[in-house]
Amino acid sequence: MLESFDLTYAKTIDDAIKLKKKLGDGASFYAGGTELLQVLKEGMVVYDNLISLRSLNDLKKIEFNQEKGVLEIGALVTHAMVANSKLVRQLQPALSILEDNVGNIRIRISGTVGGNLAFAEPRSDLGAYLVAAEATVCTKSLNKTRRIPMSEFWHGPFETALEDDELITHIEVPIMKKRCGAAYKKFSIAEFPMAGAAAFIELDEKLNKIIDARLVVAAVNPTPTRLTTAEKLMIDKPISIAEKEVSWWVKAIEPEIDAVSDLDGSPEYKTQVAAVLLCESISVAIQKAKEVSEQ
Amino acid sequence: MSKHKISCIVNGQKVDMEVNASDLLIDVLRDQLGLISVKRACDMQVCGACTVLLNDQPFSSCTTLAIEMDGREVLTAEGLANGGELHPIQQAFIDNGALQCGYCTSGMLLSSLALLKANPQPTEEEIKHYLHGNICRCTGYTSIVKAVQKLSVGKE
Repeated sequence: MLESFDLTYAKTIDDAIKLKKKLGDGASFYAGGTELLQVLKEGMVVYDNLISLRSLNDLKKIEFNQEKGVLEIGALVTHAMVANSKLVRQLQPALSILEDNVGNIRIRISGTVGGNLAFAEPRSDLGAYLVAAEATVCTKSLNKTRRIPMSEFWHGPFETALEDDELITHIEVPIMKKRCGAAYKKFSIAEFPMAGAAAFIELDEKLNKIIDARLVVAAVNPTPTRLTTAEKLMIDKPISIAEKEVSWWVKAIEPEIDAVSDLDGSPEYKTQVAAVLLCESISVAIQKAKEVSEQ
Repeated sequence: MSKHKISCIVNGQKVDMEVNASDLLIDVLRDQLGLISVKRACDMQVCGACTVLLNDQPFSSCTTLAIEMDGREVLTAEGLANGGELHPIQQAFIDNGALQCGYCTSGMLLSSLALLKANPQPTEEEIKHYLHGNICRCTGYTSIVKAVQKLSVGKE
């Protein structure tokens, strides 16, 4: 059962923003509903009004912006649409695989990219990966548009940089370039991962040396956490050394993972799992960087 | 509280009705339309017992608003059999012993059907991947996967 509320269909993006401004805190945007309806059912939040974005077809597109070298994914695009997109499969293969494994088929069919990010669930697969991929969240409010780096978009569990009348329009995800590889690995028993790890690796011209690395762990802590110490350990190292040493490096930076205790387990256990996933995702990312460049 | 007039096809029958914005799909289907094959279990989109199809795609009716039926075709397990003749997916479940207590079965049948519509020749891995969100505590899944494989086009 849900506490009763009114629901209005926004006709345009501007219409949605104006409605939100007018209705204020008592209203919420409604997209896929997978997160929102769940918390409404549990009585964790109460809204008098939902503003349905479902008829805003402009927000349901996936496009490749060649000039910027990014995929533009509309806020109303569902996980299933990302997973089934040929463009995403070609230009951001790790994202495609990730989206095909979010939650379950029903969540992938209903849940949207924008909804997922606006909800800021700490166990979001997408959020962790988008931090590693250096994605940007693009928003619109009454008087302005903003471009917020994904690394600054989440302020904490269920807290974002979004202002009251601000709507996510789309995200920009840089495409995978030559000599770059990425991977996301997670461990989950039910729908949400207990731990997730995303790795992005760039190799030098000769495919011998790591020249850039971005490593992010998620779900074990309140927001996706970049492991900058581990990244520094990897940069400028030959792949042969990295492959041998990676488990030691990850061991060394375990405190940086900063896992918290929750129903999924103790910090020690979660750190251990995150570390294993991290090693796996680094190894796959290196392999992908080599493969893509050799084609 | 806003009322919404909706118009949809439920199990092949045209239905015009009025629902509240905050009505959940599962409640309207069970309490107003009497479709009690739709089972509430986990109530959090994890178990799949409440799965119904909207335009051939699976939804957790426990966490979907009833207004989403508007303009769509709704299918529940009641709409599978044609009179006394079982739907092939139902027959395949029986032939393969793919059910015991039956609580997950409506959702399992509908998810399987959605998979076969989207992908008429799924591999074993694809079946397991698609049905990952439908939980069965009786069968151990092997018989369910076999039942779906039986309906895979061009396979016995």
